[in-house]
Amino acid sequence: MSWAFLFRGSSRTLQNGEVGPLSSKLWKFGISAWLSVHLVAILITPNRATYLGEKLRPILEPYAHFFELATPWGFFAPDPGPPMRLEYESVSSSGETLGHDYWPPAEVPWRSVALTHFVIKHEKMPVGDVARFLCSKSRSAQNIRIWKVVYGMPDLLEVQAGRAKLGFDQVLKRTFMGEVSCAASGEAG
Amino acid sequence: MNALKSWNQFWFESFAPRNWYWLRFAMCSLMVGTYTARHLYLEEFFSVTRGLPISDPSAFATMSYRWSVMQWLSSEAAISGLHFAFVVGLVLLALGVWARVLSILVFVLHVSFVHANIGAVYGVDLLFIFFLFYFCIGNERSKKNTPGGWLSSVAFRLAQIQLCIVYAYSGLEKLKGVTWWKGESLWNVLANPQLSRFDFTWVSQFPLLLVISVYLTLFWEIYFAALIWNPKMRRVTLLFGVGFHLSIALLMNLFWFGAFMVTTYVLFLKAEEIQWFENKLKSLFGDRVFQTVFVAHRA
Repeated sequence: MSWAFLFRGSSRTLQNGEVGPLSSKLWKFGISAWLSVHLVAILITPNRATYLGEKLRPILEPYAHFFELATPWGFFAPDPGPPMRLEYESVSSSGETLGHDYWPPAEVPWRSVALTHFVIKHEKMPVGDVARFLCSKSRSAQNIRIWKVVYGMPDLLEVQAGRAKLGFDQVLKRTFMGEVSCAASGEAG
Repeated sequence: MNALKSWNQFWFESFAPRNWYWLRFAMCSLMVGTYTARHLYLEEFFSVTRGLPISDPSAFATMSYRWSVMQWLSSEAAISGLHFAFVVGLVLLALGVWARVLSILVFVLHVSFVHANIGAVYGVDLLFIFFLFYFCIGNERSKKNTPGGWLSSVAFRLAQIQLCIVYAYSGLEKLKGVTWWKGESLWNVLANPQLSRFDFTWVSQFPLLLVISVYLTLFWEIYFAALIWNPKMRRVTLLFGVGFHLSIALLMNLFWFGAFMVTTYVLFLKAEEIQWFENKLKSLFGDRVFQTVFVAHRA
């Protein structure tokens, strides 16, 4: 109530919902204060691993995370990166290989490819989560064997000369990630 | 005093309601498309038993202050129902129905789905967050010289500046990469079977074109923020962007991203250009349909 004098005679609604001059200044001051914080957040958070970013982290992190404004905007940066996917075998209880496939397949939307890349690229790939997902793709499997496969990009001049072609031909690195029981992952066949 | 006057003019007196309406219409329409497509694969992205949700997202990113209404949903049917409601909300928001309330609801749901599986998002989802946030603040029905009108003007300017920040960071981040410096990155994109829509073997016959395109992209992204405010360069900058993003949309598996980036250019169109566009729509659909569908819910 003690602050009411600030608005007296000024916050009265004028024509068409307009506000009085003092109230207008207070509104604009308030909006400008928030605007300054927001501008700092959207300018700094994409490059927050800096001295300034670290100093401002206690203020910016809650704000940027709450509204999910902490995006680095690195589309295809620093480099587009090679194709990569999961290779997997479904295995029966007797150890027989039931099937062999790759994830993601060629026809799925980009969102699925992006999700797989997100999981694969991480140095500690969550093998249990991946196994549970792949077990759901082959219901009769008791176990799943998983490899992470990174492909090489064919050299432009080699393709030009007809000595290389585009596709999943050049395996750069094939890493065995483990054999996981579908029962343990929650998806027994 | 001049600085205060300029601040006031730039932030509080610059709202373009018709640009705002069309940006929201175009963006929400694209969101309807991309999230209807996601609905078909919902299980993969959000099902705890059959999908690829990550059980410990904190191993991938800091999850503090990141929330999701989906933490209260336990059944697949509830997730599907919420996602369907989200898409319906987007349809209504595209048309401008209950825009003030729906902007907030749609923003809350969008962020919730992003936080529910942080691996299942890519560039376009993140861009949507920012613009939905600004739609919560600005509305084309707000009157001038009112708090709502000032906030709308601020939202409009922030959306413009956001686009500049996105391009500037995107260009500068690319400079860290060897393949961008060497002019090879476009080849690496087109030759990547997970990214490209077609077989681009024939492009290897035009290496110079690929290299020039890479350097043009870098130049344009880094300097977009400077070029777009220059009246003489505005059209060229936007036209290059349209060509660039439509190429991404058509040639790569990133249709929604490319299409969305083009729609954001509405923010930089002049009133007469919006008028020209509206006249074209009127002649295409007829005045009655135009008034009923596009104008009924806006001021």
